[in-house]
Amino acid sequence: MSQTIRVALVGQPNVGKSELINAISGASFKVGNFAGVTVEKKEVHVTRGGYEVIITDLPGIYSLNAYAPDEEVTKRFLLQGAYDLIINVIDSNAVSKNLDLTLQLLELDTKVILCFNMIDEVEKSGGSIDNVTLSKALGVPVMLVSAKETRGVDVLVQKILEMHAFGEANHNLVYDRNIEMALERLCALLEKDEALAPHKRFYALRLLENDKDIYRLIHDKRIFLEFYEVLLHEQAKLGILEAEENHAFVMASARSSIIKFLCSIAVKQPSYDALSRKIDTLLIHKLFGLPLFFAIMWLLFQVTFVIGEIPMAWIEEVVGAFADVVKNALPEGVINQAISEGVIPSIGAVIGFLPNIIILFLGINLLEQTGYMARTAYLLDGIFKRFGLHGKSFIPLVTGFGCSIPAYIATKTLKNPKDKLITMLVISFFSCSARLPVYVLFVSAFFEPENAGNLLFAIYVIGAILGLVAARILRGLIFSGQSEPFVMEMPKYRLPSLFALLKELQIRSILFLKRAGLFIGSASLVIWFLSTYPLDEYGVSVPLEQSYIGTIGKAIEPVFEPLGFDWKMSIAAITGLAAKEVAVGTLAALNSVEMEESEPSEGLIAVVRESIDFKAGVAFLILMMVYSPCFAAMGAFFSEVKETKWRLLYLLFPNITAWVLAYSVVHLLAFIGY
Amino acid sequence: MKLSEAKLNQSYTITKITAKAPLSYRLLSMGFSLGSPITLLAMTIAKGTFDVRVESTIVALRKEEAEAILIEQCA
Ligand SMILES: Nc1nc2c(ncn2[C@@H]2O[C@H](COP(=O)(O)OP(=O)(O)OP(=O)(O)O)[C@@H](O)[C@H]2O)c(=O)[nH]1
Ligand SMILES: [Mg+2]
Repeated sequence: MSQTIRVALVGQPNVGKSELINAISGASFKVGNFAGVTVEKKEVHVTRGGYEVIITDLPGIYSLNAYAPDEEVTKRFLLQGAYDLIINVIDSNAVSKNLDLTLQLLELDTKVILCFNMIDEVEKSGGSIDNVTLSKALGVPVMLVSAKETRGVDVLVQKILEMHAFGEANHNLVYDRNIEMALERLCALLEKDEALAPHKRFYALRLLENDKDIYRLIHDKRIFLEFYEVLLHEQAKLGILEAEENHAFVMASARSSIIKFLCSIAVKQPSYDALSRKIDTLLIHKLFGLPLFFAIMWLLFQVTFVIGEIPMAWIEEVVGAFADVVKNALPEGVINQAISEGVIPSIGAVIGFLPNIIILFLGINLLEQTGYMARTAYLLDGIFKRFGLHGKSFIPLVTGFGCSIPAYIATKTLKNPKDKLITMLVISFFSCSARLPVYVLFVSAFFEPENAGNLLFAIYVIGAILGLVAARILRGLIFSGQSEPFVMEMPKYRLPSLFALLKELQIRSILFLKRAGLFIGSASLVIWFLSTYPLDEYGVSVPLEQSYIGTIGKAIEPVFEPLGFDWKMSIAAITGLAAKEVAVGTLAALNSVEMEESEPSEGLIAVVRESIDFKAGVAFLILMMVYSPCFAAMGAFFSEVKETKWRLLYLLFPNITAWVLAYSVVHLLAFIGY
Repeated sequence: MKLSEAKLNQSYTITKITAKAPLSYRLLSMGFSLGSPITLLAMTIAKGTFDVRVESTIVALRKEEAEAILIEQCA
């Protein structure tokens, strides 16, 4: 059996921890150019030099004085100590800021390797970092690495093995005399408790900063009373108590003087990134910033529609040919029919939208990778604030344009539980990519192709506005209270590599195909059987209307009749609850006969155009925009939110709103003469 | 004066941070410490959100937070 080494990857946000873990192991953890991409811990296993190395990727943490829930995850992990070694990843572009965390980590009594990442960028801008000098000064190994160019990664892994075998948990940090003397006295007391003794210096330092998590560790110990008195005394002597609320200042400035010294002997770099500054003068311009953002989003939806439409006909032809092959290859019978008439046409109808979805995802990915995402949060913060949302909510909400599930998870970066809950409740108004097939289908069926891109954009914008209004209502009715502080780092602009984009493309396609296969495959099987049976006395399928599914459809029709839906649309509205693409698959399955008769390149679009009334089509679109997201997303919501009342609200609010909105619009349209 | 009253693109240094914990911790660890150089790079049209550079880090913050950071002009 091989030995294991457990490595914790710790660093401030957006320093390239996840990119590094991908470079080491070939994993594909999510990487993005803004703070707070990783919000949960995740591990990879690699085998090197006879060891099994388990590396844990953790959310970025600014300092051990944790602030947001994702930072708490990292802090808890660090305090529990289930690791042999820490790799502290540092952004070489911002050494002095990063070292503040480093100095705190070094006190943890664990082996630490400092990994200065992004060294490629420093070198390009003419700077340099003297790792030998730094390593001597701090007493720990210092590696220069570029995760993006996989430079220095193998050496880093070697160093892990070497440190594990021979390294020690030592460092050369010494604070100024007064602090060291205070530490000495505090340590002498902590020494008396067996459990606290091994990490006494760390605890003493944290307690000088009034770390609540460490308080919890010691406040029921026997030494506590005596210790607490001494602690207050020492804090008073260091001037920590005078600093009112801000116990942190004294210790922080002690660290900062050490850091200034370290930087002066080992770091040369330009004071800031001039290129990012130039780009920012345009992109976050007072007047042009917001219009530019909307123009970029508009362009994205145009491209999504116009380019995404091109391969649609080819895909449909391939699927049609494939269905014929299967039909001829399988023996005649029920299974053959179920697959060639039920499953394949439904899946095919949905796969046709794959190019649209991929383009949308690539667009969102570009937002994330370039650093523009954080800028848009800055631009929109004022608007969001007026609707009672936190500027940072923007990031989960944009993620929601791709898929609601990661969006729910991304709300972990929001500090205030109310902000988090409101954001989670409105995420589904920000249409996810699974709704795109429905939109494209109905927009193509009812509107001129020249307007389609605009309409698509309008649908997303209207969805977003509805979401904001809903947030405002929720804030007013239920969650009134003070708004949270907004402080957010703006990363340097970066160009994503072509390789990374292709990888995203691959990941998204596979995910989509899996979803299509699983959800739509199984749903269409069920629908096929329900629509083929029962058989009449001659063993022939009854007409669709009298089949099981027709009966069910007729039974639920009253709910949707006010919206003008026929029973097929009613069924699609219900199956769409499982996943939005399923609604398209359902329409395809229920109309497979008509589809075969129409032009192959037109397919489902033509059927929808002919069989569905315009008003009902619009109502269907609105329903799809607003009502509950898919089962998977509901599961993700439920696993984050435990209170019954919020769950109920989550289940009822979107569906009732959707129905009422659709109903109003149908009547409005009728009123103006459609 | 307060950071919210700063002029665009002028160099200032931080003289005091009046924010309360835990926001003060967050500000400190982003590089807002006493004596740090700071420049206001941009603000939104409603003067509600600010974009500043402290040391070499660029940070966006709201007016409320900017009011809790006191600065003085560099000589
Ligand atoms: N030029 C360059 N860019 C890098 C390097 N490593 C990471 N990046 C980029 O830096 C950004 C942040 O990378 P992530 O891996 O998401 O950072 P992280 O530390 O995991 O961030 P959080 O999960 O938010 O804490 C991404 O845009 C990466 O492409 C590097 O070595 N060189
Ligand atoms: Mg990460």
